[in-house]
Amino acid sequence: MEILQAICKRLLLFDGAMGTMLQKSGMKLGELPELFNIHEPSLISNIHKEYVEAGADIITTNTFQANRYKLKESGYSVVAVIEAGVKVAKASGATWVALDIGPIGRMMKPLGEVSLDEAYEVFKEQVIAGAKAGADLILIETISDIYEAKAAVLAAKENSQLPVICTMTFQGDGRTFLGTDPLTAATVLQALGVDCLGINCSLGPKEMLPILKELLKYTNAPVLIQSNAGLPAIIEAETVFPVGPKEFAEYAREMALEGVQLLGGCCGTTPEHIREIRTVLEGFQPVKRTPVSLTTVASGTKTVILDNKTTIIGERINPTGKKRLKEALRNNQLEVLLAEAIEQTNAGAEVLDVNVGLPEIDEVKMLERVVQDIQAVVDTPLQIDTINVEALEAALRIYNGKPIINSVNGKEKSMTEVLPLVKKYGACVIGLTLDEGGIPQTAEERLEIAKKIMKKALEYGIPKENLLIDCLVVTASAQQEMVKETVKAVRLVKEELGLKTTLGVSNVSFGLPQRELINRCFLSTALSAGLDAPIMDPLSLEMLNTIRAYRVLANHDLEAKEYIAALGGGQQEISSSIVVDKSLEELIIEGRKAEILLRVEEMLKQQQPLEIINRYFIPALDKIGKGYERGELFLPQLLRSGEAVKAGLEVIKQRSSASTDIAERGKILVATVKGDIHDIGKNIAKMLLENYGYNVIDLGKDVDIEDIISTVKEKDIRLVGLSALMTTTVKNMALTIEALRREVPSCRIMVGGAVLNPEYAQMIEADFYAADGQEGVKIANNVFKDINTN
Amino acid sequence: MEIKIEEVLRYLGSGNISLDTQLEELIEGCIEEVQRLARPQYIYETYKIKVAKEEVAFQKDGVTFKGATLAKHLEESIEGVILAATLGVEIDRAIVKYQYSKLTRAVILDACASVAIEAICDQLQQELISKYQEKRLQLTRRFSPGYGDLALEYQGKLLDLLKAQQRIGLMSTKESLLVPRKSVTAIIGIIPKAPPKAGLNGCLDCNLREGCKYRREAGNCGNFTSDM
Repeated sequence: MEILQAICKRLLLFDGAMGTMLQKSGMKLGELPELFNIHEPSLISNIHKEYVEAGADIITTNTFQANRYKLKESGYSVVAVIEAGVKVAKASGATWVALDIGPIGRMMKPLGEVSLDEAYEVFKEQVIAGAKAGADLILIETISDIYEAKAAVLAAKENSQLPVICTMTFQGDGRTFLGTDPLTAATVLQALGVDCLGINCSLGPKEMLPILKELLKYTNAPVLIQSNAGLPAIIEAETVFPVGPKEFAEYAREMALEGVQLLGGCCGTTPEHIREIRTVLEGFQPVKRTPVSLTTVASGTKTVILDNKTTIIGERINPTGKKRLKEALRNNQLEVLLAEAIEQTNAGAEVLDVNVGLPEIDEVKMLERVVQDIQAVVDTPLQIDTINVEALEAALRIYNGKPIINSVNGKEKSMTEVLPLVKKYGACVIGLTLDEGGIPQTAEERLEIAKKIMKKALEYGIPKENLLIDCLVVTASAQQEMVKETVKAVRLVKEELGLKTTLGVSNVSFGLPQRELINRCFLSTALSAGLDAPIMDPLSLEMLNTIRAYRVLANHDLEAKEYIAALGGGQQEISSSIVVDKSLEELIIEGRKAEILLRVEEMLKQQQPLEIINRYFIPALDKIGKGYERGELFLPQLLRSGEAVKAGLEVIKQRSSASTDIAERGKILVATVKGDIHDIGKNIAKMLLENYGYNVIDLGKDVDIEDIISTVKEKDIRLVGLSALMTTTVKNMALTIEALRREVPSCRIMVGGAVLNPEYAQMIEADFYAADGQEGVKIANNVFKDINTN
Repeated sequence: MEIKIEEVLRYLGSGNISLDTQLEELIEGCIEEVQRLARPQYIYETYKIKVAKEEVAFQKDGVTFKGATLAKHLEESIEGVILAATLGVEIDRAIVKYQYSKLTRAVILDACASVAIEAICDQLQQELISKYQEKRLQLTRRFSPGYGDLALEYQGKLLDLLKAQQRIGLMSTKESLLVPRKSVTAIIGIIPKAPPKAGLNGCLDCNLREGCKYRREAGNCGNFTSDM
């Protein structure tokens, strides 16, 4: 790893642009430049040599797009192109050769279709080829999606011993195309364990300066900057980069003074630019940077810093003691968990604890799926809460960002199992102050366990700031004398070890009346003792307001801005008096969700759930449906009422003692077909069907045919609804129908989606065409009427 | 970027329905949210073209698009502009999020975003019109992959030509769907005289013709002036 040592001693120079140089030599834009490694190696080799002569220490191979997607129709293998590329670069006489890896060119999940595993395989092929061909380091560059960076860095580190550098591309507004800011880039890349990180492309040096200053604030890793030679202008149909070598080198000097240790160029830069930097910075000693030690957690687009503030960790995604969540997990109704994630985030949770542990479900698969689905709908960083190590690793891998792991404890077994994963994925971890001897009585003993965990963590190379200690809350009703020990332990851990602390606050009141009162009082006490990140219910207004008040008193919420914004206008109360004269049906038609919730709560005191549904919900839905069909109402009105009914049903489900209280009209599977990644239409149909009492099993979007077949068989499903949006994906709908006909001939199929019509539906042999969700309900009613009467 | 509420209502198929204040406020809120979340970006390049009967060659880079309707669309054109525009990923994320919390809002936001990306393209087209006016040239309407017999599969090739991924973060999937979703790619012809009045670019050329509720309810979707 001599290059890593060299970085500390002197400023290292990368080369400049390859594409710009190739275009100068007359390359057509349509051609893949990587193929020149094979067709015209001398051309590439001359460019490399020019850069070496100009003073570049590191030459980047001409392999930016040498991945299996881009080379698919080229007639050349990834290995052949990369081997040739490394060979040419090595022949240039460079001190070091960096294997260049650019983005795969396709969007990753959840916005796109490429999974982390698939991207990993693409990168792995490049890494292995490059390492085998003799590259000295790996440069992953021009990345806009931090999730893609994760796939690439994992592939690089797991399949080679080479140093890994990763640079991301920011836009003028300081974020990447995918919305990652410099703080998050620094946080996540450092967590992944890259050797250097940085910024390249898209911007000129002037525009890049503020972004790199921000980046430098949050990382201890050496930083590489490769800017374009300014922002391009089109002059007489030619792309011109305006920043010349001298000006470029002046910016390079400024960057070096900020603490940048590696410099090079991107689009529009030439050997002259590199030569000029060499001249200006000859003999320059890297500037000593002030080390940062912040406790950070991140999603792909948002970072939360836990220092000098109180951070709310939302506890609600946890089936323990929650009937509705248990049921949702058993029935794969993950939308219930997603709604919890969104609601907690809206309420003010800054991190979300995710626990899906139930004895009868496959936790490894479920946790992985839930993490993936939640990160598609909120940007709140996650805390992965499991005692299943296999599930933990699966979730850590799929997670986009830097999570908190909940938890490790002082037992030898726990530490040796969990800490290596903490290190590998660069996560934060919560250390529970218990060990083989159980939870100690006294604060001092708990401090000892915290020390033990910290020592072990440091041995694994986990920085201290990534460790949070949970001094464990006991219930006041059972172990009253120990409550103050917990508070004392928090103070000791903070003062003596300087570690962040967390507590599952709500446990304290278990078994007592007026739990919130106890919780609030305990929360205030613990906060004063130094609690940094309470794990709590952010939907509890009392708890939330306690935090808000504490933030003012602790001088964190400056000028009490947030406090005033949240509480200054007085609490909003839903005044039921305004709408008391309206019937439930009227409320549904007007889509008054909040009022409906109150009304249903009230009605449940006197009426059976089924009665409410059949006497009020269904007739109202029918009426709205008819109005929609006649064109008297339009889609938003239909949906608004649908949402209101959905919320009402949710109250009924939560209040009713058993799920059998609500009759189920039939099971329907819905899915958006393979290749199609937009499912709003399907989700509309789903809501309407559920409101009519159908049990809808939603397989989501981009669904494999095999998944549909196996679920239909396993759950004995009689009606399947498929949606497709594009002409290109209707063929996958036809294939799905074909497979269903072959495997489960008794199953009926309805189809819908923008490009379909009755004739087309018939052509692909669907049973029914549903022009919209309302039509879907009619079809389902008919199908199940037949089934139930037969 | 102007998002007209009438346009949003048309996308939502409002017909002659009168709005209540609640709904109107909701739609206005969605318009504001799209304006806040959008990171509109567009790029375009101009190419010399060679039009044959069933294909058009874009000359500098030697890329050929097969399709008789595109050829017809560009038959009098001397140059072709290829453009790509996007609102960015934030809108997509918000629409997904609201599908799990506020479905009505998700649907309205989706419509607002569709109006917004069209507005961006119209604005770009206006820019081009003024630019070419000086040279006494005019523009055809926008023609996108998926219109007529121009295969949707050209989406990827078109994006590659413009280096759209690097420049504006726009990509396509294996099945040629654009991501971010609220994006447009299109080809515009530069013609030396007034555009022909033929039914080009109207509903007859559109693959969505049969099922299209806009055509049924409003005559057309507003992208085309044809009333066929």
